[in-house]
Amino acid sequence: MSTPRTLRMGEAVPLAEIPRLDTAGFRARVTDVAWRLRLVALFGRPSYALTASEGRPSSSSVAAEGQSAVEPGAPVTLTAIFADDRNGQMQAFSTDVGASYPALTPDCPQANGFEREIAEQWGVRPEGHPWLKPLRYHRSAVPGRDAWGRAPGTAIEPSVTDFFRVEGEAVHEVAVGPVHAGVIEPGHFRFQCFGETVLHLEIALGYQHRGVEQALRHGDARRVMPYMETLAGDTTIGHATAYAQALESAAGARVSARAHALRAVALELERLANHTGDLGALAGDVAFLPTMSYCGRIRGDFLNMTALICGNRFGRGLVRPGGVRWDLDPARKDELLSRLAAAEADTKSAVELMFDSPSVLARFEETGTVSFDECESLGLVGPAARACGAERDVRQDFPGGMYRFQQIPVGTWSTGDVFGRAFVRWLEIQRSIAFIREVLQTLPEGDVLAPCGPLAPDSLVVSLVEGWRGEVAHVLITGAQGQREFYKIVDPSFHNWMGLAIAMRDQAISDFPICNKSFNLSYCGHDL
Amino acid sequence: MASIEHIGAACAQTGLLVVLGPLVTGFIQKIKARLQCRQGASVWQPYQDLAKLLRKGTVQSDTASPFFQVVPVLVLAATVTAAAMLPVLRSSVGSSALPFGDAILLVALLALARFLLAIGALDAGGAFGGMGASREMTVGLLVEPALMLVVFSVAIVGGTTELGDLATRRHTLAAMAWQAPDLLAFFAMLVLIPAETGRIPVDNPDTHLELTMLHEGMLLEHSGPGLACIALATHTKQIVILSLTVALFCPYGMAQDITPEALGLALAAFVAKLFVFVVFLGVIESSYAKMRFFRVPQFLALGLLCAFLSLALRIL
Repeated sequence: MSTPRTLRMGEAVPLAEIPRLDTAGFRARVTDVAWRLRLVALFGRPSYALTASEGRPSSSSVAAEGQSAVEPGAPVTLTAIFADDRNGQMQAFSTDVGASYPALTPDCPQANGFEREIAEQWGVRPEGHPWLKPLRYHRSAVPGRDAWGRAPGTAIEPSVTDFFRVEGEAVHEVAVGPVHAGVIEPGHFRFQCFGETVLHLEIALGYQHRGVEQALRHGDARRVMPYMETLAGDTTIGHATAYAQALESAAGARVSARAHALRAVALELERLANHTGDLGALAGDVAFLPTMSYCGRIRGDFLNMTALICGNRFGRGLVRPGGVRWDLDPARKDELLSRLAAAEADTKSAVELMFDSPSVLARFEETGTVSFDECESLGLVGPAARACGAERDVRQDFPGGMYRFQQIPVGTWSTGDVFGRAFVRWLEIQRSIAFIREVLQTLPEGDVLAPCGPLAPDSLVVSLVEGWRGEVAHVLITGAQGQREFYKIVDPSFHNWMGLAIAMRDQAISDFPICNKSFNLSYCGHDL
Repeated sequence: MASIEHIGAACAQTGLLVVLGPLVTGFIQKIKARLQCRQGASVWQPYQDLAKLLRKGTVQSDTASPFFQVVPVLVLAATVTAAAMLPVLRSSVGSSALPFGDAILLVALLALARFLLAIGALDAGGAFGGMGASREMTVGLLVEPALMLVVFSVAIVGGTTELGDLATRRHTLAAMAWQAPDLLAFFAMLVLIPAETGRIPVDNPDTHLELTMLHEGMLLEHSGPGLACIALATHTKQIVILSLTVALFCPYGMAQDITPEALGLALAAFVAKLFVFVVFLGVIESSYAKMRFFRVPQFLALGLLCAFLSLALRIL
């Protein structure tokens, strides 16, 4: 067995250096590392991408649903990327598979979602997968190959599939969604209940599938940035930064320190707005009205600070490969600092009011608990993982940009319940505010945007950013001419949806809303 | 026996309760909004909501039986009839509209309305209706006995369960002066009021989260004029519970005979007492989170215990 190629965040690795194992060797390697490393991404792609220019299908043969035609029966290359959070290193290895391969999920539960995705996208069946269902309800990119043997003409409807069922006299099933009462995204939740107690929750998504990854591979290059900024609308800066980082790494471009600082400020403002909004929404879900209404307003204040930098409340149009498009003049910097101080005081009083209320704590504590072991085996990320005691934060483990110069402490809690997830958000709010203040007070001088040169050919780049919801992972693979050959996006929600399902086991069904809100996962970030 | 004049006066009092019901809700909403530093909707908003619902069409689940359609009317009828048992402005003997109308019938009619609503929710066949109905019946199971004990605790001294008589005797009977058991019973009533009116910490009237709903869960399948009937019944039930508390514990200021001055004074006293309760409910709603449903029985058991102790003290 060849030694694993370790790679660092934002390093352009020649594809030839990534070990290609046989299927058994690949499986053995995954089983070997799964218990101690975290699966960042596991994806399939057509094998021709590796074999230089030969045998590549012409771009004119485009199949249905806007996906490129892959030759029927073409082998698919699976690539696994594992992260060693403690050492700040990653491992990548790959294998070629045909129409099926032995599933990894039984030995590596983190692979569950990824294997379902591979089966759906490439028609490759992971044999022995415990619950192989479609993930986003679309056709495979390989004509005539379908992991479930569905005929080419049949309609594929979201959530029309098998659901796990508990049988019994007093067991009842509650179906919620895809249309919800609040202004939220569509998703289907199927509860198996015994009275008020939830025995099992199954989540079926896919309603928001837009085909972004396919469009990125084959679409108009000018539309790439708008796609990145709307992968998950609330993680605009997170995804845009991950993309910019990937491109800059592949191009070997140098980004000015000032641009890095402004990106970090925008990323932390995004975190502040969303965390504050989440704490308010959590208060709202337990009907604690004061914090709900204050935090709703303060979230707007943070969004307006982002707008002060770039004119858009969600930071659209700010981050570009090579830097940022808007500089911050001294007058607006001072304005930003004074607004930050005001928002800090408001947030403190609103949030402490909530955490000082026994009636709120009685709802939060010991609700929706995820154990540390479950967190590890599912590979949870972000505040959801930190609330279980996992010290895992891209800003510390795989620092990029400004975070290499200015550290931010990782806030963790040990209970893994709704309180833990809420409290970690509050810790992060305080630290983000301190971080922004520090960065703004020592803002480096210089230009903010420089052109990003041509990309290195036949390379793989893994770009990680700690978005407010957790690790945003982008994987870029370039072709022989340095073109964008393959692009893979893993939103933090992709890891964490299963965490929500596990958190609901043996909980009261009336506690689902606060459990759901404490994770606050993205539907469109998952469905892409 | 009840004269035409008595019946007229009782009907007017019932009408007053039904008309004022939505305003009480409107004021509670306004107080909540002001406590959150919001402007809030007008206090007349509940009336506008009712008018809006009355103009709308009805959509009904395919699985619902014809009985489902009459549920809202029956619920409203039961609640309004319960309101007729109450002395509001006038408390002379026999002032209620119905000669047999007493506190026991009032509690029974409210229980009937609750039962009808739950049956209707189960009839529509939705999962949320079933959950709401099951939770509401669980709450009812604890609230109704406690309510009966509170009534008995006062009635045992007054020697009657007729609320008009009880209110009069508060003024005239020395034994009806406030005593420790009254305090206990009143405290029990304060615990029961949020449960009976579907408010925090037992229920959240403003939630859109189907999975957490108690009362609202049972209304999900209703629409249009039917929903308007149930909404009006909910407003009426709220003011009935508040007026019951007033009649049992502080009927002061009620008119003994029908003169404009006495009635005006009685109306002012009634509105002032309602306003105190409205502020109480608004402040409670703004300062506590909703309880976990499994803890609601413990909370209501506190009310039940106080009511029981109150009655025990009276008997011993």
